Amino acid sequence: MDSSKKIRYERPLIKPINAMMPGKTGKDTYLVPVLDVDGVPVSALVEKYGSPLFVFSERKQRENIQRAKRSFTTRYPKVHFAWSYKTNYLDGICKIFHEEGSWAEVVSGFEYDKAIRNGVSGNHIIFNGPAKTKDDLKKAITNGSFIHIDNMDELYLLSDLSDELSIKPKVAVRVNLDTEINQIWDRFGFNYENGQAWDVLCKIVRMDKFELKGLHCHIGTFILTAHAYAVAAEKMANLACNVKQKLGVNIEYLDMGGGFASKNTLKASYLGGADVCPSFDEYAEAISTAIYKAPFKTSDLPVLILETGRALIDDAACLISTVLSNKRSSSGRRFTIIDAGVNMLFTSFWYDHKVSPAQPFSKYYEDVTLYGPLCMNIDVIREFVSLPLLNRGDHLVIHNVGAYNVSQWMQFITLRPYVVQVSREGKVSVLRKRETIETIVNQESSTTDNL
Amino acid sequence: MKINANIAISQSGYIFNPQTGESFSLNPIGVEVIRMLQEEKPKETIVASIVDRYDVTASAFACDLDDFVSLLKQYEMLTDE
Amino acid sequence: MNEEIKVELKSFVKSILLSYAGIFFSKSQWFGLFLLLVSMIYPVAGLCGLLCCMFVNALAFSLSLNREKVVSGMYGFNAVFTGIALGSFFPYNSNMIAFLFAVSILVLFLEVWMDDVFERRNVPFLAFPFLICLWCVLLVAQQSDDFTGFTGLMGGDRSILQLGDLSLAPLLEDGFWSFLPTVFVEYFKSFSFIFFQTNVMAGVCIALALLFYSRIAFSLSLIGFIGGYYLYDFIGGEIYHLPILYFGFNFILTSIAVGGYFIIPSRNSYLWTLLLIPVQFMVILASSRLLSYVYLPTFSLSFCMVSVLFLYLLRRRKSFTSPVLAYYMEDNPEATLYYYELNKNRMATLNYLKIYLPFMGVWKVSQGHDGQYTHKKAWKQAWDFVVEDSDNRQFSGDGTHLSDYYCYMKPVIAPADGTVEAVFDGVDDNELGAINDKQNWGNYVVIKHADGVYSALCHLQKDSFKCRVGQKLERGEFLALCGNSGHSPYPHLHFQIQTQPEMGTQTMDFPIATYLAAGEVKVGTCPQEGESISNVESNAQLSSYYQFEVGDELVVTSEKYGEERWTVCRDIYNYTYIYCANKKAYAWFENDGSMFYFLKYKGTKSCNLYHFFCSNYKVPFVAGVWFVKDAFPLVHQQNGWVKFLQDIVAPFFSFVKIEYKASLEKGELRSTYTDKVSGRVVENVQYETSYSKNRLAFVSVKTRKQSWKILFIK
Repeated sequence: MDSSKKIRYERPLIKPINAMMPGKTGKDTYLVPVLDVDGVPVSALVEKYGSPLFVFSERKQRENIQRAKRSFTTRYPKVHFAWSYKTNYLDGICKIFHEEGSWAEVVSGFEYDKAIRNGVSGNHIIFNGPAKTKDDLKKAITNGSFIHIDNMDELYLLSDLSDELSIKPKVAVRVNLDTEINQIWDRFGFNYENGQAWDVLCKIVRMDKFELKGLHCHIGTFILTAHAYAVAAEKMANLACNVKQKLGVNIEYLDMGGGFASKNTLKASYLGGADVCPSFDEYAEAISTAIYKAPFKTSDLPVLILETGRALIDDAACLISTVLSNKRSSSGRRFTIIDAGVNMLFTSFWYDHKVSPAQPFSKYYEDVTLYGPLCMNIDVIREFVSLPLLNRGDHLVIHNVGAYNVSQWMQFITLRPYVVQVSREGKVSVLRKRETIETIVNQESSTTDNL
Repeated sequence: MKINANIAISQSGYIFNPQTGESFSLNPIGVEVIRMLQEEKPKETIVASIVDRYDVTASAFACDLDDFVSLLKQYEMLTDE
Repeated sequence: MNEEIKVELKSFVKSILLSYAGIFFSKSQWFGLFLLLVSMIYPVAGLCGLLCCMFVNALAFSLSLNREKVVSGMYGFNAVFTGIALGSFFPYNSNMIAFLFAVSILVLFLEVWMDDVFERRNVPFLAFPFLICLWCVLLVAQQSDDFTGFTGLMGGDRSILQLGDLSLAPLLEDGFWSFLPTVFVEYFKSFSFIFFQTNVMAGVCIALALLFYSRIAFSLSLIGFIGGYYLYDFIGGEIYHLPILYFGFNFILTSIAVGGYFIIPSRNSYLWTLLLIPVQFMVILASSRLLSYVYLPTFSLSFCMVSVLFLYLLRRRKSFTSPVLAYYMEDNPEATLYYYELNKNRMATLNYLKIYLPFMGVWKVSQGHDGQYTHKKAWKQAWDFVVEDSDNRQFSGDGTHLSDYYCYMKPVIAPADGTVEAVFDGVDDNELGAINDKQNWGNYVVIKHADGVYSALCHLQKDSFKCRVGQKLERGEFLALCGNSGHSPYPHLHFQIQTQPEMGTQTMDFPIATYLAAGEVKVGTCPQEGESISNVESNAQLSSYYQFEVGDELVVTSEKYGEERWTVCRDIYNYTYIYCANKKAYAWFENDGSMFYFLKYKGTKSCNLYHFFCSNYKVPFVAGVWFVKDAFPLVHQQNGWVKFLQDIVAPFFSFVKIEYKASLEKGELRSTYTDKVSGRVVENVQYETSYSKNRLAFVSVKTRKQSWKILFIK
């Protein structure tokens, strides 16, 4: 018989029927085969670009930022989004956000330079972070960027640079505060509750070396309750009003940072991420209502800046991976090894990513542990996941990988693969080429070279 | 290899092992393989039969067949021979 | 001391020249000088005219009458006529000189008195003072034996052209001009009769000067005269024994006055020019018959009477459609027309209270003024707003729930400062697709912004109001949430401006002060159905560059035009302007806090100020990326022949467009000046304005042939 008439193969499966408590995998997962990404077949993508492969969707990316803007701008008169470069600093991704009107939020000299190269004007860059070098700061001051002060040493360094360059830097103060959730990141910035932040603000106004433009806070990461932002916004707004009243400085903007959750499921979570993730509307309602409570005159309302990263890009990308082999553990548990490991999917340390097969499958599932290709024990993509029967060579689509993976991945054991983007018209373009051995070796030199 | 004669196999792919009291479910191809094992067909015949009708290579299926059989062994469904 | 005298002298000379120019309603001293010279063709008469004018103006100055009025020549032109008349009818003797001074004083008395009487009714007194004085003089003269009579002109006077052996003398003879058709001979003679001359040459000179001064005035003079001439022919005017020479100029002057000077030239004004010809005719014939009993000529009575009566009628209308009265006269009727056309749109914000959009973010106009669904008749000037996504859907998902609709429960804010006039709450939201006609407007709020200007926002959500009746509102303050109450099948916001406080009273056509539509900043316009619009975010940084205070001095320089010193001043009408002393150029501007724009430019185009005017014609202080469009008045059309043609047809249509477009990119203002003739671009200049350290740094100019930079040194 020729192969076109052959039946689709899946391996023989025998599965014990257990009448017991639901397993770690939770409720039944209703998986749907993902045969294409934005209309481009997975098989075609793998054929051209190999596997593993990061695929970004321009349509989804734009939809996300437009939806976020719509939620906020219809509730608050002046809103700016600043794209958080550390979430994903690929030029192709950043440029789309800038096209949609976003500023840039950077935390290092490298990210700063990248933003400038992307055509962002200096006064549309927000410079955060606890580790800004002298040169970085000089550049930022000269370009009129907004520098968010993290600690006193930075404050004094800025003061010296201000004298040296005869320019008053535009600054904001990073504030950390208690938002009634578990995370209190008091490592960054100055504390609100113990008065540290107020002292710094007084100092800044007294020194008269800076243009105090705004207040900044970043209350945590993957915040699943919009109420935390309401608490933070209220405190920040009141702080701004106090600054105006007692120090006479008009705070022009409130930067509420990032931290919105995405649709990924946190490892400790029972419910799926898509069910618990608050919508942009919820965050917007919480923040805008809180700011309105403060005694601002309507014409004096500060600009609201948001440094959202993950929530805008996570679900706009997926990782296509291929099954390398199957084996069984000593206890009979199935292990499936795929070609994408924690070296390129760093966020699998935090999330249980949703995984879909990229070809049609039957109703027969198996409990599986997904491992990556590294010879390290920690290289686990999913500890427990119920998946249809996969054969060697079958493809998987791992969802919600747009944030942090392509900026935090490691070149370890395997070379980093292609990153491509499907445009709104369905055309595929390369955002980042696959690494070759030259990519690595060009950076190296050895003692024997110089002989 | 021989399947334990006490094993009850239904048409829809359910297995009951009275010795251990456990139930199992099979997928269609699993049902086929078990039937062939009950008929005490040799491994090569089973492989040939499957490869003939399904879209799989002999080596891939052989690998899966070994895996399947080891599971059967683990679930105590094979007689020692 | 010397300076003061120089200034006084300049004003005096100006008043004289403008008196002459005022005969044809012109403000050009050159035109006045030319007319003065033409009047000197017969030196005695001309000199008398000049003397009379000088005497009246000197008197007016010394009596401390309104200086502006004197300098504008308002009190002088009647004197010119009177003086020339005297010089034409009377022989040159001491009697005449005495009369000259006497009648000058009388002219002044009459002018000042009539100015008051007529101005109260908003009409001009034209040449009435002259008429009365002329009749006065003639009545006196009739009693003297020296009087040669009205029809026997230029008794002992000889034209200057006859002195010596100047070969120009034949130009005065009619025979020289016999190649022209009769109608034109009479036309030119009629012109000359304004100065009591009867030769074609003077008329040709005046007509040419008129053409040079204003194409519209010239065409009107032709239309008026030719109309009158053929009507005269048609009715067999000879039977009235009145040569057209003696009254033809009435048609000329009335046409200019009614067709283009006091009224903005348009199809209608030209039509009225023609309609008034038979009226004038009747007045001329009747009055000349009546006056003949006392041996007085009708002269310019018809012009004065018909013009004044017509203008009086126009002022008493209830609605001001075409023909439109001109409120401010520019240099000539063309300029008045061009500025009128332009300012109809540009000045909308100056005249109206500033009202903005009552929501935040980008909304779409789902139904505009005169919409096809519900905005009709008395309620036609209203807007319906909704929020859409990039797929043009008003809801997410299936749209089966109210909350799926993007605009549902979004904040509605005060569109301008005001007081809450009325609030109606308590109406539940409808189910999707259902309509509540019992409480048509649903939950609503009416705000009073000014007397006769109220805004109403409807279909709001129950219990979402945060405002109370009587509360003072700031623009942008939260009012309530968008709902689905009243005549509303799907969530939307209804917004209208009305003249009365009760909800549902007649709407009025009111523009939105500034808004952004697809990247374009629209000033003083009404949002159209289908537009996606949002309020603009103000740009304080940009605004800081355009803070010009009266008294500020700027120094600018460029390779092309050298250094210029500019001063910021204020004129008597309270308009601010920049004056360039080197080139004597003026650029009027306005900064209303939300936008900087130029109103007018006067002076040479070879000047840095002119390019500053063109490059920064309109700069809205808006943040983000935007562009704005505007138009320059057609007076700036540079090609002489094109402008000539455009001027002639201006009352009917324009084939020239001079466009301005500016956009803000990367903190720089990029603007263009584009001159289009019948759609073809004939001139395109590109500008880039850069800023640094809180002020203007430089403007780079790029024409088709050259490019240079204008630096602001301050």
